[in-house]
Amino acid sequence: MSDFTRYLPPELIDKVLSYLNVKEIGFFSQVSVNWREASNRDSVWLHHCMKNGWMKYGISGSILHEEPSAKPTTNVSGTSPHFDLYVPFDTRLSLICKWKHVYLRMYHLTRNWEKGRFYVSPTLRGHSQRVTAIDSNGTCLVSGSEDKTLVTWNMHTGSKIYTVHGHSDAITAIKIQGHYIITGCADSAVRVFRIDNGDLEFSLFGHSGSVDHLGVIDHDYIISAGSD
Amino acid sequence: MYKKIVPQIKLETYEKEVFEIDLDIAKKFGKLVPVLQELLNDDKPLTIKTINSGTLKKIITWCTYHKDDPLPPEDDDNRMKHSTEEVSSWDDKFLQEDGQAALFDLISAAHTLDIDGLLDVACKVVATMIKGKAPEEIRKVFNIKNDFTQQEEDQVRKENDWCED
Repeated sequence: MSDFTRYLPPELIDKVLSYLNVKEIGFFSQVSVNWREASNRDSVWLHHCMKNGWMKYGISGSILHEEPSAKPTTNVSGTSPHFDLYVPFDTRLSLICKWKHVYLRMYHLTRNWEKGRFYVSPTLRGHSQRVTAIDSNGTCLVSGSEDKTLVTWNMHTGSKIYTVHGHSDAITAIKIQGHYIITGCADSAVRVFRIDNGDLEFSLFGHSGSVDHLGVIDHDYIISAGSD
Repeated sequence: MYKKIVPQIKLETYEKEVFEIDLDIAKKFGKLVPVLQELLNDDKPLTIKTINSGTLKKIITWCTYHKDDPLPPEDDDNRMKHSTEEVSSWDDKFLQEDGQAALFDLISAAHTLDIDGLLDVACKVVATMIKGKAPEEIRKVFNIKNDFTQQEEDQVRKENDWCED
């Protein structure tokens, strides 16, 4: 009888929770299955996201997608919390609600910066002219420049892996897709390189002007848009 | 002798007991006020089956005590400030003296009758019973059984053990 999470309607439980801070809500969730479910609601967490000005991260949704994260070599203290939000499905627990998810991610991000767990990498120098395009897959960064070269960097060490000469004009667009790097060039060609060694796989000619944008659909199709 | 006639409304509880409530006390009943005013000249009481007599008695006592309180602020900023105010010792004692079940009945009834002030303060009292306590202590206070499996408990701890301050 005195389990009010069974007895009161959700909006009243929300009201009780609105007087608790996030740590107290955390303890609340650990009481029983029903209490955990009662506190795993967007209406509870939206309020806390709002208080921190994190609404925008939930709306654009990009923070909810897991990026392949950098290896702990970029972690100064070695204490960066790695959390995964996977809830085992053979339990009675529901998935973590969207706004708690946003809160957790933003909380960790803020904490990581505050505690200096990550730092800004040293400036990468390898081009002789303006850098016009970059892309990254989390472990490796590819940059293209008006100096007609493509450089691949190791994101953990900040060191150059290789340089590709083979473009006859400035590189205007870069897209990493799986094991391949796709480039758009002001010489109107689209080129596909292997990411591991930078070998040219093939070139595509179809534009009569600079290729400014690239996209990949379903991992199989390349779309290019040119200034022609 | 001239006797001032105070307009009264009639509410019937779960136990079919009819309570007569002065209108200046019933004005605390938020959205219900216009409905009740319409029933003023009616002889039939308004039946609210979800509220028992004991709870309604408490509500009348609370509303009588707080009859002259200023209305809660409308705008969000002031509401926020309002919501962090401490519960007065009278309210605290009044709300807790009959035990938890009665308190939850009261919250539920305050919700039904749309009594904002009472709802705020009662939820705050429940929150105070939770504040600053570890899960095991909360279980003790509310007499809750830990029904997590080991796997569930690990998961829930992982989800919630991150807060560093």
